[in-house]
Amino acid sequence: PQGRAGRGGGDSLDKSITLPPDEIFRNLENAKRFAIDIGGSLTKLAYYSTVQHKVARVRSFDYSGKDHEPPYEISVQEEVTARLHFVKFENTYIEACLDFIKDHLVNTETKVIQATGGGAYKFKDLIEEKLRLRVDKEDVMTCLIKGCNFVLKNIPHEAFVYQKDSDPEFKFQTNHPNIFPYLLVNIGSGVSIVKVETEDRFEWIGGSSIGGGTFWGLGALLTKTKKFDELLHLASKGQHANVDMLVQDVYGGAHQTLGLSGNLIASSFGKSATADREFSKEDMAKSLLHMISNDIGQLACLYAKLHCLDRVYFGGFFIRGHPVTMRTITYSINFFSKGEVQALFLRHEGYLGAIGAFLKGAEQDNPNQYSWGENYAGSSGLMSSSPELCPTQRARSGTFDLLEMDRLERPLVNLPLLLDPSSYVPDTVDLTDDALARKYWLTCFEEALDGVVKRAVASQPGSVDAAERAEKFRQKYWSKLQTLRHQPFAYGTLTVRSLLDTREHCLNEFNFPDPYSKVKQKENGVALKCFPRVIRCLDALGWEERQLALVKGLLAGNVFDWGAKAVSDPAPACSSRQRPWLVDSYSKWLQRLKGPPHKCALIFADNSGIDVILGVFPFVRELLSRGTEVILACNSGPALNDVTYCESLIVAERIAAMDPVVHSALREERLLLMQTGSSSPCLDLSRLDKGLAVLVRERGADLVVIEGMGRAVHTNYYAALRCESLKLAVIKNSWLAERLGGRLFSVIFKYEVPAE
Amino acid sequence: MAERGASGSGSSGDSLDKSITLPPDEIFRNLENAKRFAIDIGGSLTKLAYYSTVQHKVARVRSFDYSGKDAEQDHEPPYEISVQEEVTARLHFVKFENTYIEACLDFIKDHLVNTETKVIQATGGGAYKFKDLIEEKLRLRVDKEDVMTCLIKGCNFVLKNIPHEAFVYQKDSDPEFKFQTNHPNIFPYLLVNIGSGVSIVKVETEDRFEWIGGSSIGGGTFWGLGALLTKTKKFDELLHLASKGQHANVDMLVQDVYGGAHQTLGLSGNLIASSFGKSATADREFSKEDMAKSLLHMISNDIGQLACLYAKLHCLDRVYFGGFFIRGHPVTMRTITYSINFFSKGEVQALFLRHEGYLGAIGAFLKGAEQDSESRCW
Repeated sequence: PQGRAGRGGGDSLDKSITLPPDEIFRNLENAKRFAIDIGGSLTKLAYYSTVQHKVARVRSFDYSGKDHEPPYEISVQEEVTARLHFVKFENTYIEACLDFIKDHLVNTETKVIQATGGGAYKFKDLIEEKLRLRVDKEDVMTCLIKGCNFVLKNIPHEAFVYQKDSDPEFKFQTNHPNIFPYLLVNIGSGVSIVKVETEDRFEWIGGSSIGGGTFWGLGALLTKTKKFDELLHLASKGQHANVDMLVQDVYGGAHQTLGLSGNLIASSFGKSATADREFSKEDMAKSLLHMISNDIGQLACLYAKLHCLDRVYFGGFFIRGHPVTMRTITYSINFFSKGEVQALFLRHEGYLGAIGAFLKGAEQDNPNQYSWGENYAGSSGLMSSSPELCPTQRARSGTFDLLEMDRLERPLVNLPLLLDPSSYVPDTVDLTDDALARKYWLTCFEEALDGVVKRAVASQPGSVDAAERAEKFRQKYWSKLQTLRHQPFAYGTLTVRSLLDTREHCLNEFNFPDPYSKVKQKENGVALKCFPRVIRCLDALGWEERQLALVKGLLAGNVFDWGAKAVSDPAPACSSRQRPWLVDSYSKWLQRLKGPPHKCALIFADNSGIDVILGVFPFVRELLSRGTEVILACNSGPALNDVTYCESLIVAERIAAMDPVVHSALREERLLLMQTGSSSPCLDLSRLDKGLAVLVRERGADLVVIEGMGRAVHTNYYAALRCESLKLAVIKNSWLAERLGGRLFSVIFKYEVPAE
Repeated sequence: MAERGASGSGSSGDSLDKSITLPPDEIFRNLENAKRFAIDIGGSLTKLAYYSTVQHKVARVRSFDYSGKDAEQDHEPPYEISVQEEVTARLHFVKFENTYIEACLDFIKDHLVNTETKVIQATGGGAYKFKDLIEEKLRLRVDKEDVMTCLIKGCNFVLKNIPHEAFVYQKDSDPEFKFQTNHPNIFPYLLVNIGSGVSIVKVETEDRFEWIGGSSIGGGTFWGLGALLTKTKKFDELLHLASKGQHANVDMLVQDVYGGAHQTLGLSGNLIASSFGKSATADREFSKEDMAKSLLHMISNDIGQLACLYAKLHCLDRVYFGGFFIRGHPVTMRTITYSINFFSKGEVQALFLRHEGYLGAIGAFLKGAEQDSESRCW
C-alpha cells in the first residue's frame, strides 16, 4: 500500500477505505483549528484539539497527626490539555478522509482551514464543499520554514546525520540553543534552497529543476514504473555502474592529475550512450537516484559555502527517510565540501508544511510562546529504512503516519548553569549506538510490563474499566517496544529515558495518570512520622559524623524506588555501604564543607517517601543551617513514585510544622520549592521550567545536587556544569552495576568542581 | 566541419568504417612534410594535429640600380618583382568521427613520407583504447598526455593567439554571436569542459590550474538518457530532435505548481520547477522532440548553475565553456548563458570558443613541441 502515486485529480480517489477512528483521526470532536498541506502525493492534516485527561490531585487538609490518617487527600480530576495532531495519508484517500472528518466535527467553531502545498489549489473546492470551511491559502515556503523552525526548537533529536557504515545509520543531533542561520534544501518536485536567518527572515537563494519530480518523471519514462516508492525500491536493488561511466571507464583507473578516484561517476548514463544493449530497470533507477542526489548535494554544498553556513537541513518528499538518497546526498556534500558542510535530515520532514500552515493560522494563540513535546504514545515514529525488516510496520505507516505534540503548560529552557548548552547531551548511554545495552534494556522493560499493568489496575480499585484500559496500555507499550527493537531510531536517539518517557505517555493515554499516587501517599505518611526521630539522631552526632550520615541518608532513601528492577522486596541491604564506594569523591566533598558555605543549592529530588523526607530534607536542613539557600526542584507531573511538585508542597508544609529550621526557611524564602517542568523519571537539563531557570539565575546558584539513578546515572552522569555539582545514586540494576564495574547496590558519589 | 550524424559507436575497433574515400587535397593537406603529430580522441570525435612545412610561392621585390635619369619616362619600374619558393611552418588540425579512425590512419600512413618523428602525442578519453591501433598503423610510439593539461594548454593558446576566439551568445541579437576582443591578460579564468561529464577547472597561470569541481551530468548524460528515452543513438540527431521540441510539455513549470508566478520567492511562472515533472504522473506518451529538449534544458541549466556558483566562490567573472556537448549548438549555448545570467544576476559571463573542439589536440601538440622550446606566435 505504500507507493500509490496519487494522480492529483479528483477522479481517481479511493473512497472505499475504512478508517479506524480510534487510531487515526483521534480527538477530532474537540478539534479547534485545522490546517492542511497537500503535496504531490501525500496530504498532511494538522489539527489542534483539547484532550481530557484524568489527573491525580493532592490536597492538604487540616492534619490532626493521628496514626492511621493519610497525610493528604488524593482526588482524581479531569484536566484539559492542548494537543497538536498531525496525520499524513496518501492523496488517494483525501475524499474519504474529508468525509470522515466532517462526520466527526461536532464542537468546532472554526470557519477556516489554512491550506498549503502544491496541491492546495487543486483540492480547494473539494475541501470547501466537504468541510464547509473556507480555505485560506498559505505560501508554501513560509509554511515550510515556520514548520522547520518549530520542530528544530521543540522536538529533541529532530535532526540527524546519516552515517553509511554505522549501525544504525542514524546519528541524532542535540538541539542547538540557537538554530539560526541555517540552509534549508527542500526537495519536492524541484529543489528550493533557502537561507533562514531568523524566525521571520528567510531568502530563496537558489533552486534546481532536478528534483524529486525528475526522479519520478524520468524514472517513469525509463522503467514504466509509475509509483514513486516502487522506483525507490527498484533503485535500492540496482547497480549504477552498469549504466554510469566511471572515471576508471574513461581513464582505465583513477585520474592522478585531478586526484579523482576510479569509482567516481564521470558521466551519469554515460554507458547507455553507445552500448547496444538493454539496461535493467533497477540499474537505471539507481543511476538516476545517484545522479539527482549527487547534484543536489553539490548545489547545497556550494550555496552553503557561498553563504558561509555549515549546516544544511534537507526536507521534502524526495528524501522520505530513504537510505540510498540520504547516503548519496551525504556523500556528495562531504566530497565537495571536504567535510566542512554537514548534511542533516529531519525526522518529521514530511510535516513541516502542515506544521507551518497551522502556526500561520494560529498566530493569535501565540503557539511559539509555548513549549511543545512529542507524544511518543500517539506518534508513528520514523519509518524503517529497510522495508524487509518490518513490513507490517512500514505498510501501516506508509498509509497513515501520525505525529502528536502536547502543548506543555510551561515554557522550557536550558539550565543556565550548563557549561556548554550546545554540546550538552542528557543521556549517558545511547542505545541506538550500543546494541548490547539496547537488547538488555528492551528486554528489561518488556519483563517489567506485567508489573506495571498490575500496578495500574491496582491504583484504580473503583474503576470498572481499569483492567480493560490497562490491557490496552500493555498492547500499546508492547508494540512500541517491538517497533524500537527493529527501528531503534524511530523516535530519535533511543535511551533509557526515552523508554521510560514512552511508558509514561502510554499510561497517560489510557488514563492512568499516576499509578503510584496511593503508594506515594502511604510512604510519605510513614516517612513523615519518622522525620522527628531521624532529625534528633542526626543532631546528636558530631559535625563530621553528621555529614556522612546525611549523605548515607540520601543514598539509603534512594534505594526505595518502585521503578527499579531489583527493588521488589522492600528491604534491600543497606549494609553494603562500606566505603570506598564505586565512585567516591566524598572526602573532597567533606573538605569542601569545611570551607565557606555555598550561596545557593539547586537540588533535584527523586522518590517520594523515605527518599525525599528522610534523605533530602535533612540534607536541605543542614545546608540551610550553614547559610546556604536551597531551591528544591520536583517534577511537574507524576512519573513512577517520584515526588511531584504538588506533593512536595504538602510534604514541606508538614515538615515545617515539625521543624523550625525548615519553617523559617520557607517563610523567609531561603527554601524555595519549584517545579522542573518535566514528567519524566529522568532529567533533561536543556528542557527545564523557565521559572526555575530564572530563579536559579537570580539566586546565583553555585551548587547543583542531582539524586537518583534516573537523573544522575541514566542521564547527566557526564553533564558538565559551570558550578560545583553532586551526583549521587545507588545502582539498583545489576546489569548496569556490572557495566560500571560494580555490584548491585553500588554507590555513586560524584562531586565535581569545574576547572578554573 | 564534418561531424554530422554517425556518432561513432566509438569504443571498440570492430565497428569502424573502413570504406570511406578521403579527398586528400582537402583533408589531410600537406601531410608529406608533416614533422610532428598529436591526436585527441574523444568519445565520438578524433582530432589530429600535425605540424608541417608549406612551400609557398611568394612574390619578392628587388631593388636594382635605379637611374632615375629619365624621370618623365614611365617605362622603367622602380624595382623588380620575382616569384620564389618559400617554406613556412603551419599547424594543421583535422577533426573527424571516431568511426573513420582506421581509414584515416591508413591514409596518413600512406602519405607519410618525409617525417622523422618517432612519437605521436595522444590525449582524450579514447587515447588508450586506440593506442595499439595507432602504433600498429603509424609505427609511431604513442605518448599519452593528460587530458586536462592538454585542454588548458590548448585553451591558453587559442585565447592568446586567435583574435575573436571567444564569444558570448546573445539570444535575441542578430547575429547571436558577439565576439570578444582578446584580453591582454587572460588569467585567471574558469574553464568548464563538458565532455561525457563536466570538469570545472580554475586556470591561474600558464602552468597552474586546479580541478575545483565537476559533475556527472554532462554530454554523456544527454546522449545516454536521450538514447534511452528516444531510441535515437546519434548525438547530433538528439540535438536536432531537441531543437524541435517544447520542453514545457514534459517539464513542470512554476505556473503548473502555483498557477502563476511565485510572488514570495520572486520566481516567474515560466521557470522550470521540475524537469520531467509532468511525466511523473501523466498517463500519456511524450514526443521524442519534447523529451530531448527537456533533457537539454535540464543539463544545460545545471551546468550553467554549477559554473556560476564555482565562479562566484572563486571570485571569477569569466567562464569559458568547452567540450563536445556544446558543438556550437544554439539551444545549448542559449540555455547555459541564460542559466548563468539568471543565477549570477549578470555578474558572471558565459563565453564560448570558436575552436573549442580543438583545444585538446592543440594542447597535446604543444606538449610534444615543448622540447623544441621555440616560442613562436601563430
